[in-house]
Amino acid sequence: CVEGILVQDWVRSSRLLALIDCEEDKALFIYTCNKTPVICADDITLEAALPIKGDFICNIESESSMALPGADVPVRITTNETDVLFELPFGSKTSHFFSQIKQAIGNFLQQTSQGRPLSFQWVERYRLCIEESQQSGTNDLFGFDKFQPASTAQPHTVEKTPPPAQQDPDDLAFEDNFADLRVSQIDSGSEGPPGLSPGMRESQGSSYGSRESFTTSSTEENLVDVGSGSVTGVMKTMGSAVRPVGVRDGIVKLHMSKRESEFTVLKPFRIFIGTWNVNGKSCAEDLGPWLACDAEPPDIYAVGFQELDLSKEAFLFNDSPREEEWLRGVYKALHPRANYKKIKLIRLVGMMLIVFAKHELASYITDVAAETVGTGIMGKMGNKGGVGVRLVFHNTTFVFINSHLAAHVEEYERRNQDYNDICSRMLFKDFGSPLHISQHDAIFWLGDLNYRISELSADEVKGFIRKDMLRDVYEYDQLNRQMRIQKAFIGFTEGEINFLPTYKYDSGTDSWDSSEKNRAPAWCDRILYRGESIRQLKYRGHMALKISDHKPVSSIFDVQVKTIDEKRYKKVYEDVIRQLDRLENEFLPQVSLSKLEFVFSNVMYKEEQQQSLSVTNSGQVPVQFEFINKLDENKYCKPWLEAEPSMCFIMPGDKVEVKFIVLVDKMSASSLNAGEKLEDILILHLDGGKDFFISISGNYIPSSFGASIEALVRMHGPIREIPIELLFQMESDPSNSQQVEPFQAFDIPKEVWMLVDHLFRNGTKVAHLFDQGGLHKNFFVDHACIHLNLHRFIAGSIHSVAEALLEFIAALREPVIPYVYYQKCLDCSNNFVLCKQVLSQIPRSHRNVFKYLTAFARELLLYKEESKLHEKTLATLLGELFLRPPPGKEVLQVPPNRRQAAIQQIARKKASFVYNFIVNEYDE
Amino acid sequence: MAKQYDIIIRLLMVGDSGVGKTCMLCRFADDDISSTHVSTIGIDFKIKTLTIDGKKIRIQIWDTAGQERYETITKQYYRRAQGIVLVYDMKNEESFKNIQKWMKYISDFAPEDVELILVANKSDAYNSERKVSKEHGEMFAKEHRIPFYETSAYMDMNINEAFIMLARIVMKRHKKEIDKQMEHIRLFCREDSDAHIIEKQGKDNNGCCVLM
Ligand SMILES: Nc1nc2c(ncn2[C@@H]2O[C@H](COP(=O)(O)OP(=O)(O)OP(=O)(O)O)[C@@H](O)[C@H]2O)c(=O)[nH]1
Ligand SMILES: [Mg+2]
Repeated sequence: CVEGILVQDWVRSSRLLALIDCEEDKALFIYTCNKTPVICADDITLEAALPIKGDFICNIESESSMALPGADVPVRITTNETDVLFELPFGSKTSHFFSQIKQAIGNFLQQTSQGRPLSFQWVERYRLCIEESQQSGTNDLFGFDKFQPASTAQPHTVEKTPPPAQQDPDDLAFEDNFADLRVSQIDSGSEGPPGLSPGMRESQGSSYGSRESFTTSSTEENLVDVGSGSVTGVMKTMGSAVRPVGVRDGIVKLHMSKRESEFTVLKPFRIFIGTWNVNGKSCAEDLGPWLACDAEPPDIYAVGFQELDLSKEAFLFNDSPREEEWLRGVYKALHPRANYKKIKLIRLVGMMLIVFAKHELASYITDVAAETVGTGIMGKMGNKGGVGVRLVFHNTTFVFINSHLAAHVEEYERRNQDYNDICSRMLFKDFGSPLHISQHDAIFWLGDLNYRISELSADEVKGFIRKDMLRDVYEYDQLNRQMRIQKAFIGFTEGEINFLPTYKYDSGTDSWDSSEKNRAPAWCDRILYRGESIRQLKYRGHMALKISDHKPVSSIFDVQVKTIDEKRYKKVYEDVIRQLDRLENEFLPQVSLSKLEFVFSNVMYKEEQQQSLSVTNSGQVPVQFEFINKLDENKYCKPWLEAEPSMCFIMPGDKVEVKFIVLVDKMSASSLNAGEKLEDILILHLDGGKDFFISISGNYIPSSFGASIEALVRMHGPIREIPIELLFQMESDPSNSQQVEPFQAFDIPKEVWMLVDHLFRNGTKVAHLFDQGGLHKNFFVDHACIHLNLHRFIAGSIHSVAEALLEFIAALREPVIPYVYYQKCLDCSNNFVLCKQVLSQIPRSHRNVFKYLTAFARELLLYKEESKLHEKTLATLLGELFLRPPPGKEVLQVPPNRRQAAIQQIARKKASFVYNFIVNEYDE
Repeated sequence: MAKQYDIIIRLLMVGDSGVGKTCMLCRFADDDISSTHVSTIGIDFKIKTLTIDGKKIRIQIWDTAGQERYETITKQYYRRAQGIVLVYDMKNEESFKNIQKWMKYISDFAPEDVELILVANKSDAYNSERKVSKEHGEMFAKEHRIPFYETSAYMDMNINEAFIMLARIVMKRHKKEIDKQMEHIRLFCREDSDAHIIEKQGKDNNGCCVLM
């Protein structure tokens, strides 16, 4: 599988592409990555399953194809229903993946042509699953809504392959619990991941998608159940160098909140909190004396009611005409010296909470949310409980809770319980993780908390009150006691109570309850607060309002609110972004190289030179490097150069030695003889990172190996004594017959003559003359002799001289039969007359070499007994040497299955062409 | 789980060796120019996140080797650039003349709709050191209808302005695509809660640089 980036115009999002095969048929599975790097199967969700059949097309985007080396490769995948563009990371991983897909397509075509169409039934089942899981959204495949991790998608399982010999981090195959599906892995090539043992294979169709089917297979030790969230391997980090913005948003926020104090200024704002149990009465009274009794208008109002509506309808259907009525009443009575805007209203049966803010402040209020918690009948109904509103004002978070807790004097523990219930069940959603009440900067808790006076009789309480001894009564207040022993409202503060108990009065009066029950007066209605920067200014009851059996309570606070200094905010924000960018840049792959320039001096034909480069991973992340091709070139370096290894993975801090090996052989000698410089620049590309240019240079000592026959026949002395300019000139235009030197040209190159002469004199009776390579060392010695025109070959091995001859002929810049005659010779190979005709057309010096060597072959065949040579063997050998296909025509344009036969046929033709001349006497 | 979205602009820097491309990039991305300095031999890049006109944009800037011997290789990197910064050194006449050559490479190898700006770096130079007048640079830029800046990586002068200008005209050129994607992001990704603040800032941020 390979990680890629789905490109939707300008938006890129990562996808995981996997080639899955099930027996014969293959399909491309595209997974969304819910998380990067992908570590376990839960991190990915199947998005599409595309069977690789007739309509499946996978192409490198032509327009920008082979774009810049190192850049991601744009790959378009098209089927009848889909058309998507991916960017795959540059490198051999992708090309391997690509070739596997091509193979799969080829395989499909072959299967169908043989009348065995593939069914792809298994893929269909996956597709059904995807459809089900995507039904909620639009049907546009790859639409943005699909980014949501589809919850119904199949559970996936990760199979970890046993660590292979090579240290690749990606050896991770996804194994689905359709146990017989295999993922072809991009870098393990033909090995592939180990399959499941046959006993574990599920028959298709049975218990598909069920986890049970999987547990049976988990007995195999290398299977790890990812359902339980275990991490089974490290997946390579994103191929793309740029991490998406979305991932960073959370981090940015976190950093900003850490540095909040740098860009916020505390400014006081006035908050009015009011609470009133209205005993189901309608709003028939002016609320002004309660809500607007101060000189200064507050900035924010939070007004709570209880028992707003005692009707059955309100209880059963949470529907009440009173809501509108009281809202209007409150709105009318808000402070006349300011304009207010309703921020939020929330009601549960009789509990209602309304939040207002001054008009001009409303735009600084964000993230408003409201919730309700019922703790009434069965612990759930809304006759008791709480309603809450949370909001962010400037940069400070506020929450207001209006609650009506359990009634009756002795039920204080139940009230504690209700409080705790509200605290744990009141969760404000829609802000990432749900927010608890306690997670706010300023908390206000108001309502009919229903705590009473314990131990004192009604008359005792009234007695104290008459004597203005409120403090003494407060000692018996249940809330006071419960808070002191930390049973409820931990962390909250309540101001000193200087007002009369708010309960219970005869409605319409200021006189205590005169009913038979003769309830003891109590401070049922309370306002508490919690938060660092809250200062209470007033806490009071309002005797003037009489319609209820409760009196309303209100409190005024000054809250130091964190307001954002826009300038400073921007500065900090930019700073945070800059730091994250820097961090990200630091986390890009980094290596340091010991050297960027390599000089190889006096490079000689077939003499290897080496130098090494050390690559140290100096960055913070694992690095994979690779030498990449330059534009329009099909190898990363010139033919005379090799880098070992040309691709490698390095852990941070580790070092790898790369060997540069320069070796000029017959493939590259002629162009170097013709003046091409020993120069190359390699691009060392870091996966997901930068590129380095490494310069290789040197000087080549020209050799008669790789020279052209035309030049050689004009050189009377050793090649190294020829002025280099003259040599280049002769080589760059070998057909120019104009004499550059005063000498007559030789008939054949003297080197050929020397070698053949030596063999002729010493080797005609040696067995297997051309079959055994001489010792390598000898070859070089002989090689030097040729250069220096020495007539004696020091080392005794006749075989190495023979090898030198073959090498020399093979290295000729243009073969003995010039390229233009190549095809003609093949075409007439079975007709000696025609062959002779062709031969008569080739340049004289070439013809001479041909004649000379075939004559030598005939000579050798006279001693067949001793030399153990055979006409056919010799013909084949010389055929390959004399007839080389023209450059660019080396690869045959035939279907792969017929390639072998075609090659053999050509070899036969070459041999038979030469055969004509070694079995027949030939003269012009 | 945060949605993954990304709007990336790819910019490229070209110009003779020694004009200060790497220094400019380091100044822009890291606000820091390293004291030990070496000629770039290869292709390097840095990432920078910016809010331009209220849009959060990631900019990937590729720094190329200016040395002549690498030209054949660096040319291949022009392909995917959406914007190119042409840099010369105002203390070095040759580097200004060579802008012609770089323009030629761009027209041969960069996409047709690539956006360009011309930058004369090292504006901290003394008058006596200056070899290319501001007028000359301006004239050239005008001729090719591209914005022109005199910058100093040393003194951090006009560096941000130049890059932001290029990012801006690239965004303008690709406005349709970007807007479409922004809309997708708005529709399908919940705005982060402080987004409105950033947006508000984007609005009163128009003092930065004005387009042509
Ligand atoms: N006075 C002055 N010198 C600068 C300024 N910017 C860079 N330099 C100097 O110019 C020299 C070259 O800077 P680089 O950033 O390496 O130049 P470059 O364009 O990246 O060069 P190559 O990587 O070779 O293409 C260094 O010695 C810097 O210190 C500048 O704004 N003012
Ligand atoms: Mg540089």
